[in-house]
Amino acid sequence: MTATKETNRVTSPSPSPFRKPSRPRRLRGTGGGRIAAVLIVAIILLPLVPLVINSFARGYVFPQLFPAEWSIRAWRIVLATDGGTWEALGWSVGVAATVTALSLVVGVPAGRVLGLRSFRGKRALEFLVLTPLLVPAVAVAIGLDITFIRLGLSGTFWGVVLVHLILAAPYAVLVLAGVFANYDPDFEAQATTLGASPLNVFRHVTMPAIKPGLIVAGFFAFIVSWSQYVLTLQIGGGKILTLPVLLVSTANGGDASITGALTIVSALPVLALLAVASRHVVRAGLGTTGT
Amino acid sequence: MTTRVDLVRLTKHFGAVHPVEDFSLTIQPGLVTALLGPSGSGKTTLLKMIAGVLRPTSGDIRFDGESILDLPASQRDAPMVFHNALLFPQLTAEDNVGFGLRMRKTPPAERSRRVTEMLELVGLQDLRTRRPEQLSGGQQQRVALARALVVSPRLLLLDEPLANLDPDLRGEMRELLLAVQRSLGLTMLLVTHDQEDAIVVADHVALIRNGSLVQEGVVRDFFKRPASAWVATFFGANNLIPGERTNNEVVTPLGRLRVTSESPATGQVLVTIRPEAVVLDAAEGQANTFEGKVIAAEFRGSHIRMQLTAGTIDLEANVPIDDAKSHAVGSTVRVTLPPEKLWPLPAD
Repeated sequence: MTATKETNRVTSPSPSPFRKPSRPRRLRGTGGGRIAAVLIVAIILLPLVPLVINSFARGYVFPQLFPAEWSIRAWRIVLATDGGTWEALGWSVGVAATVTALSLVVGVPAGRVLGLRSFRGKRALEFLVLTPLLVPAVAVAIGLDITFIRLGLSGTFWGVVLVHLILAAPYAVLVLAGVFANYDPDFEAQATTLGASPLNVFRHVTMPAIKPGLIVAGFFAFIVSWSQYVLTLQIGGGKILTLPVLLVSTANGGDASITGALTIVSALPVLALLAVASRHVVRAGLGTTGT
Repeated sequence: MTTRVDLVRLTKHFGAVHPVEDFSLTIQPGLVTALLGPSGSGKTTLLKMIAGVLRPTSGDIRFDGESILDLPASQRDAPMVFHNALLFPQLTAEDNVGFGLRMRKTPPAERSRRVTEMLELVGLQDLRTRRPEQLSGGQQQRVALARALVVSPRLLLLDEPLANLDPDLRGEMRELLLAVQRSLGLTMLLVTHDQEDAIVVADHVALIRNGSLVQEGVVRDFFKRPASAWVATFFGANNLIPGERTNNEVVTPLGRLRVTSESPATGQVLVTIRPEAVVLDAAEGQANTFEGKVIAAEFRGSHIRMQLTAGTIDLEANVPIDDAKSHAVGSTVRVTLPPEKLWPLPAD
């Protein structure tokens, strides 16, 4: 097995074979890299520990290192069918999944043009794509609120989806532009001349080539939407109660146990997605940072 | 399966860039035609228009007399083989070869039979389950060739298929192309910047420069009767002597040169002669003989390449290795340009 891997390395110097050649291979799996990976995982997971403790605690006050008493009261309340958590989870999944899908629908063609073509004003366009990320969300929300009310989008599912897209789509476009910058469209010409229809070209050539990028772009879009509070509150007008909206109002209520349990409910789906996507994050990350 | 292809006044413009300009050529059925030209001369653009990947700005492409401009690339049966193989990385060698048949919904049994046949033709039947990354560059190129051949193409388009190969692999691949051509009798269009490829593989050569056809014919013509000074120098005849021709005589800075070839160029001409035709220290009494000085000599394996100067004219001569010893750098030699080897060209 190792022997085959070694010969592969000789004949195929680039990590993704769809890529144009001449991109240097990065070091992977070195000692330093492992330590860094462990540290990153620790940074992500450690803050969750006090939340878990909190969620099972009763009467947990300052000098105590661990709570004196344990209880599942908070979890009972949070997971209760009429507690609003499930409804919020439904809104969050619905909004984030829709935002993710639409981000990719926008991101694939836009990323393709930005990655493959060069044209006058391309840098300006790239900057324009980025601007929503530079302006504070509050400013965007207040500015858009009146327009959305006028259009009847305020307080609706699609209004929230649309406003999330302003922040999520640029991430998808940028990730996919990086993927397409390393993509050789001659593969598509090759498949076409061998008799493949446009649909088959996309299915058998383009899709497999950009799949890692799609996963990463989708993951980013999902997280951006999932963690959005200000825009959801402003445009959703208290009708679209996603997990962050519920979480903030719960936190303001001052019950640390319930807040802890709800935070874990909010974080788990993203962590699960991250675990699935992480393999691809590494691969596509090499592509986007390589330019 | 032998298709005659007519390119009629083909033109391609990308804004202000005109990679192909008014290009006409007939590709004879069942022969290998080489489209030869330096890089950037529009060869690949031309190939992509024939394949259907690019649409010409104007002009027509006809397969057996019928225009195929409105036929999508996927239905032209004119597969391309690219210089970098472009094997689909997620598919094994045999699935790559079978790709075109899968797109045509050929039944699996027949597909498998034809894939095996083609893998045997290119000598890779033992590597059929390998993935592209497990194949060497030469093997990848052979899979790419088999993948194009398996769909029984009307026309096979080869875009520099030898360019990325090591010299000995190039030889092997040329042999393979010739063998394939002999056994299948296909019409092939080979794009190359390497005259060796054209000389070895092609029956017919079309020389392209700046998107336009410069000269076409059998390879021998390009050596013996180049159409212009550019063609002559492209094929290595770097000796160009300016002069004025009247009948069989050209007045040049080297004196009066006799020419016996039937080149039609008269008036202001450039007389060309291939370096291997220049004779040093011939017997006395030959026509077109004058004194020159050796200014450089370079060992080229099979011969010595000498730089000579005579008055204002610089000449190149390929001299047999044994003869070269007597012509040291700096020595004076008698240079003869045999009249039948001189080819006058119109001075541009």
